[in-house]
Amino acid sequence: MTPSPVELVQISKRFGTAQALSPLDLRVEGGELLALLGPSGCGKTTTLRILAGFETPDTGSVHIGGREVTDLPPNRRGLGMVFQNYSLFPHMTVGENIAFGLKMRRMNRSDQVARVREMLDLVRLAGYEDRHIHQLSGGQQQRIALARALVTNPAVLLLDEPLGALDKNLREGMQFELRALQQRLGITSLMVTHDQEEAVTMSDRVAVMSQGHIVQIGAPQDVYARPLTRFVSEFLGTANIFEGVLGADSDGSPAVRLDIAPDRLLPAAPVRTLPRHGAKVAVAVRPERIRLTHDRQALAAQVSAVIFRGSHYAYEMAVRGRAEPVFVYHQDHTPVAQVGENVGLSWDAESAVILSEAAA
Amino acid sequence: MMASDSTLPAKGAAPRAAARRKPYVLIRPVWALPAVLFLAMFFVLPLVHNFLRGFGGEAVGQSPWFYYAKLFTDIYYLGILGETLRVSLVVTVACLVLGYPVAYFMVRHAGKWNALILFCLITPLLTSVIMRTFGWQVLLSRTGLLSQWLLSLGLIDRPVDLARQPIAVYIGLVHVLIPFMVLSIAAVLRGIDERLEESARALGATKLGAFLRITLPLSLDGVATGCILVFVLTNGSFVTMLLLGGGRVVTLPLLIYQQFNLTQDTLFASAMGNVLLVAALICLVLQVRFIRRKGVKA
Repeated sequence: MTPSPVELVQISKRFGTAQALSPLDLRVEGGELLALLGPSGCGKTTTLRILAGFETPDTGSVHIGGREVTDLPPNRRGLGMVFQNYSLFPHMTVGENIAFGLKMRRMNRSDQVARVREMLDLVRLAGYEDRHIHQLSGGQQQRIALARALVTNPAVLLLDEPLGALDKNLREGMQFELRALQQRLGITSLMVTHDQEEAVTMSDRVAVMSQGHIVQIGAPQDVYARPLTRFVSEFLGTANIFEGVLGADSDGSPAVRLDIAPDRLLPAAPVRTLPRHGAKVAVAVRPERIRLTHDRQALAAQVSAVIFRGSHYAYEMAVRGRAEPVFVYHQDHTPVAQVGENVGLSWDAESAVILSEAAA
Repeated sequence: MMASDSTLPAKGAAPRAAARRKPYVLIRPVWALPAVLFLAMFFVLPLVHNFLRGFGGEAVGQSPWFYYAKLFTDIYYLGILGETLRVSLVVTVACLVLGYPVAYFMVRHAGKWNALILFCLITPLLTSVIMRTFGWQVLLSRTGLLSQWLLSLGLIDRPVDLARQPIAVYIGLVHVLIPFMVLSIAAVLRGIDERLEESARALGATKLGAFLRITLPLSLDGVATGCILVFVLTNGSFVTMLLLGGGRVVTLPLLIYQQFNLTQDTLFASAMGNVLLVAALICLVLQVRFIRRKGVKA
């Protein structure tokens, strides 16, 4: 079975006076896991619900595996769905829950039993058929919900904040497990999440949404390394944003004269559509990309706080002319700078991303 | 002043705090005594008295079970018992069939109209039984509105008298008892996650299928509570039957009323009262059982 691609074409949706989705195009390639990432109210859940058939779009069309399904009810779209709180049927056993989709397809009993066993093996809960839902832990319920969604071999798997109800430790484990399973089955998947770590860890591509638009879509590492707008840079990870004026290096590559250090031109990464020279721009630099040096050419800063974060140290730097601190992360065993110390901040051209101001 | 007082060390503060707490300490179980006495005097004692009187067959030279034997063997009284049961069952089923959709609509679709629907539902309870009954008589009598409408629509060719008919009793009872059904069901429906139905839909169930397999089974607690309430209340109601039935619907409560007022056979009336009491108690036990079972499940 070749995985089916999913396509939303010019979808829009309005609830009362609120425009939930502006006309939006989205294509999920066959077999890929695409994460819709955004703050609450950005339209990600509406997008998922339109794809599932729980909401009807005001305009546009929905295609699954090349077939238009815009007017089909949810039960005829052949989707598997995992809900935020699992939505397991409390009055049924684990086995009955998983078998529900098979029952709806009128599969005969003995095949149902075999298939349920197969699914329980898949989610590593063999022998749980007769348990009651309330006897399961959160992680187990999550896996049963997944088994229930996958039992009918759906063409597409929809995940609505699938790990949102789990505590942090469990969540990390489940991220890997869910991702491994999705890849093994090669099932086209659309996941909705507001957790950027989850989106980055689990997906082939991330679509960052804001106010009913997709602001940026791409591989997680690309979106992380090259955010298009201030919103993306700040929603996906932490970013230090510097205002400045666009210029060019001697070799013509882009460089920015920061407002806080107008006496020098700092190199920046080339972007696809560059504003004209002299335009006001914002530059995003990831905290872990900033080096601490004693180079006189570097941006002068003073350490105002050193915070141990477990996997790294976070330094808060005060820079003259700038109200908010500059964050720097370093993975050393001991702090490399002390509070009050004067240091220089520098970064590679690659790490300074010019943001498009339009959506900032 | 106050501030310095409250910051004083424990030595001086403790007795003062105790003094301040005293009024609250005064609210003791003892305060329930007037209510308990009242209930004992005017509810428990008469009930016990009535209970004992129900076994008063010896007073007329018979066994204590004389009246029960009469009630459960005499074909006339058996008929009345059957009628009582039938009316209760019909009213309960009618309330369920009419009430469930209302409850479902209130919980899932009514939104801001919820309060209005609720108000309309409980109005009959706020109206005096005389007013309510009179209203139905006006609507249902031979010269009443309903008869006139049916005439002018050409559905009937001469006026019908629906008052003083069993149907009037059923209408009157359903009217006043349906809120108990709707509210019992709505309370349970409100606790059922809508996404459960969506889950079922995504798994291939039709809208109706999702309702029948998920929401309906999960709401059975509410259905049971509502049914037991309506059943017990119908069992014990007699004013509606007296005023709207026109003597055509004779149930146990009505018979009791007659025994007291007409034949003045209070011993027999007490025995019948005990039968009703036992029926109500059985229903109560069923309900308590039901709730306990749910408690273990949840």
